[in-house]
Amino acid sequence: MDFVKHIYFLTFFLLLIITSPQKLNAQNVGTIRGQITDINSGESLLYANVLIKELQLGTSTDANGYFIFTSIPPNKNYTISASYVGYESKEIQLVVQANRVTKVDITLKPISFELQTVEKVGQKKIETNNTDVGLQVITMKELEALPQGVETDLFRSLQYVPGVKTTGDISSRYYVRGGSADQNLVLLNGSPVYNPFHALGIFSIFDPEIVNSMELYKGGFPAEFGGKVSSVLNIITKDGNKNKFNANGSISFLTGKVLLEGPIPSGSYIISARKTYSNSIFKKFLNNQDVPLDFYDFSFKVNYSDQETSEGTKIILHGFSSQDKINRDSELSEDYNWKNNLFGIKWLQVATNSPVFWDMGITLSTYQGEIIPKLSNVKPQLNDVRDVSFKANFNYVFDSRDEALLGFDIKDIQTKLKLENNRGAVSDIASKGSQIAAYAKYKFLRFDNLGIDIGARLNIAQLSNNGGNSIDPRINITYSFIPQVSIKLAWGKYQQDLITLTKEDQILTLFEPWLITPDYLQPTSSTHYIGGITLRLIENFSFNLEGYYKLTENLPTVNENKIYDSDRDFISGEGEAYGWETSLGYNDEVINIIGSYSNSWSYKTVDGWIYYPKYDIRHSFNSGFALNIGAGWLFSVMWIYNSGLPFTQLTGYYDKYYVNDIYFNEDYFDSTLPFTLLGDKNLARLPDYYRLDLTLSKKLSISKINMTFIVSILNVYDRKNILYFNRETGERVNMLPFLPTATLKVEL
Amino acid sequence: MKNLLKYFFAFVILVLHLSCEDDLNPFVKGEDVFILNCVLKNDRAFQTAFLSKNYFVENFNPNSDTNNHSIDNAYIRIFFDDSVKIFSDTLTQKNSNSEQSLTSYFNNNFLTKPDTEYELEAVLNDGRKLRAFTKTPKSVSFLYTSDNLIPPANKNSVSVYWTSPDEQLYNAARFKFIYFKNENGVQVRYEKEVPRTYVLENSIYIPYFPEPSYAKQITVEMNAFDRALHEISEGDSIKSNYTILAFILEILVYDKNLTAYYASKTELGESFSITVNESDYTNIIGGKGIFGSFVKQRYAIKFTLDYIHSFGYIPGLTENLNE
Repeated sequence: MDFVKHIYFLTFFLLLIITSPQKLNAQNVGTIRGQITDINSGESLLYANVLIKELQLGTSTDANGYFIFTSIPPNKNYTISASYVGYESKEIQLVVQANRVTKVDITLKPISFELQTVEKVGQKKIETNNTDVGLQVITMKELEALPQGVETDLFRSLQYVPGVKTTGDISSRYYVRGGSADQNLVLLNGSPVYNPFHALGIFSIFDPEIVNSMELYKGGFPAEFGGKVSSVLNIITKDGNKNKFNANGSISFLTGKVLLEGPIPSGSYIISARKTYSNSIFKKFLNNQDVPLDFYDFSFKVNYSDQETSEGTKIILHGFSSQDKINRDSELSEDYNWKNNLFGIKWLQVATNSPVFWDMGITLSTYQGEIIPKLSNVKPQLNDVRDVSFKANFNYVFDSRDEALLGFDIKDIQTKLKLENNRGAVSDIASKGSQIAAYAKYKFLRFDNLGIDIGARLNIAQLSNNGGNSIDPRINITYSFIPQVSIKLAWGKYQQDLITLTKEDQILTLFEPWLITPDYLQPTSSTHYIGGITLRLIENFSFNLEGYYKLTENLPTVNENKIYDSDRDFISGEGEAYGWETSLGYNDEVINIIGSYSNSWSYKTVDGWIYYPKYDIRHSFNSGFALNIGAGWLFSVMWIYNSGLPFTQLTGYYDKYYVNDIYFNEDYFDSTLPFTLLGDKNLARLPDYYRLDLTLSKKLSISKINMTFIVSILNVYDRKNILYFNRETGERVNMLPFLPTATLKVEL
Repeated sequence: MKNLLKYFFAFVILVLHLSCEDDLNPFVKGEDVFILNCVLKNDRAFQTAFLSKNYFVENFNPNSDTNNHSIDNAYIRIFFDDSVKIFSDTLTQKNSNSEQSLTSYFNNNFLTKPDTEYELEAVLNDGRKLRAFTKTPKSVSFLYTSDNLIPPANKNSVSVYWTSPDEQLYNAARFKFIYFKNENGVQVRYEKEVPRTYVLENSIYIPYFPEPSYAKQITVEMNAFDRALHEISEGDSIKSNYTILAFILEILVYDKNLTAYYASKTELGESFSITVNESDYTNIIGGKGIFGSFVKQRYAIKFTLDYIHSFGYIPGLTENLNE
């Protein structure tokens, strides 16, 4: 019966598209389509602003770097203005012809070191009907202004985004609006990455030097994204310099890295490699523990786009590989090994004379995590994930400026998991499944002050045997009753059936294996309700306020009471999260100030018990200040405040019997040791977290060499932020102390 | 612009004035918890049970509480088949790990049988009742494919295999040899455990013993036998003082409670994961602790005279199969 209902829903949706009141082949109007690129490198500038001055029509480039205007009155001169953070704005004149697509590629010049223009032309025009509630776009220019730390880290930069939480300095795992870490979809150029962490989770595996921009959906994400119920982080890498060969290298306290990029006939390439050369800095993160950790990552992207033989076609080959190893000399100590590999090919086609474009790609993404016990008592663990995905998107922009998207997302996933839990029960789970989803969405953008993104994702087949077919409707609305004020609403349903086996009581976890939701559980489902308001009262000033409510059902939780192999690894729970977030920003040529606050609640219910998950932070406040001193100097300050994380208090001790002699020859009297008794789970709070970071950077050019020297100080006033306290000794283990770091970057 | 900077620096100064470390009180008073421990052993008639109570200290040093936490005057008994055994006698001793005293309840005429259900019940003074159940494991059967001679022909390890009707129970297996040492004319009996292997670290041989596991086999390297035999007379030039009596494999099969309890207690995790809430398995209804059982079996393995002679030792009760 449900399936029939879904078919009706889809039919209605398609009819809505087909019968929408506009003319597909409208006469006497023209279309403008183009790209915004960096004049030096040819790199696409994603999410750049574009404005037709005479019509006061605004838009922005998409994740592929393209923009489009339809229904433009023909045979007139127009001024197209383009801007992007860190670039000089540019205006060009053009004449639009009737019934034709007028192509315009605009190149922008990066601003000099002395002047950091942050002007965004047409911002108000773009945002009045932009259906972007829950979306945060972070460009590399913005990332550069954040404190560097030991390594510039993409995931650590997310902690400055309101609604995104971390549980401390030693882990870059992030939690979005009350969702667990495995509910975050991490995409590299649209391809999933399963373990995006280096060094026990301290850093992300993505070298920021290769990143063009990243978009983070904190909730209410549109129909083209699926498979996860909390958030989507889509990292888009650079194409590589299309005009000249470029090499740069940098060295920090932890890694050395090189990046090569340059043109090839009808295209470009970029290759980057990063490797640890010292691991002494890990002591600062790991309570002075020596860790013989070694990691590398390698990525490449090759673009081919021959406009003479195949206009509008772009072929992209991209790959990524990373490995972390801990190999210890002693045969009595275990070794570790984590590997990610990703390879993909993508075809992007822009129709030459119609407002349509499509892309399709196939990727292979694998992950392997392994604990090799050698002769230690640690249990062997192995997790393999193999994901083959095919995705296709077809976009059409109507003369009315409305947009339609149809797409398919097909996955074949295999997971293998071998482990022995803390009760000695063995799990040996090999599962495979196929996920087939079709999605469609329609964006009503015909009104300047109203944007509606309505869509649905039809899950035809799911990985889990219990998945069946279902439909996930999603809607996102923006209404501006005056240009300065936008009201935004979003609602959507989401499903997930690829999950991690995550121990809730671990604050640092090495092994979070992935597996397909077992047959005895239903796929996790979540419903998001989001509302927000954006104010653009004065130039260079923005204010956002968003509230959300998220209900998650069939939330798999590790069965801590598993005793036998036949016992289930998971039990089902429920999650509830709600809160509100606000952010305030001001920027001009010299100063950039940001401030954000979030007030949130999250709960988990398992076996009738309600408790706060370990990442429940009631209050978060972040503030940042960046000052362009001039002459290549940039100074920035970030201050973070989080109210205390939940923890479980001690209620006393008892004398526990330890089976020290496994043959039971020992006297019982010598086999007891005090053991802690715990109170209600996560009912108490650790002290609040504060951190002040400073960064000073200097860019200079000597001959043809550009150099950047960056000095950062983390935790300036050496705040003793607690990570945890050792229950046996009472020792308080703190997070990062006062930590000065330096990075030198050289560009040829 | 100047105003903005002024406000900003005022804000920074305010932030810097915040305290650098907050106190944390990790304790909260909890309810009374009663702990009952009893492991039934099939290799002896002396069975013990222990009953105690939780306690509270706020200094992270629980050993500073030297009170006896044992509960006296409880009525402890074990039901099985149509019988009951009462743990009516008590004994109080000091724990060498701390200054605390412990009281045990015992019965010295209680031999357990394999594959039998036992019910433990402890009734406290106030009428509170703790209960638990165990079923002793079934006996194992050794397989003919096992090695039965040390050293085995054409192999540098000794392997013994067995089957158990209970697949999901931990097996603790160890090799040992029994020997006599002539000490001033008196033959003194000793036992020496043989690890699976020795690992040489920093010029020291570290024995690597097998942990209890589901494995139904044990393999011991001949190097381990060599080293273990060598160690008993290290520093003693008169090797003929040593008589090697027998090589024995002992297997303990834990019941399901002990299996879970042991696995829980040995939750080592990896070296780098940080777990804040340690798991604590119990099968005691109304309290904490463990009521479990095991069965122990032995497998004798012969040795060649040449092998023992090669160390200078005297072979004991074995036959030379090579002759």
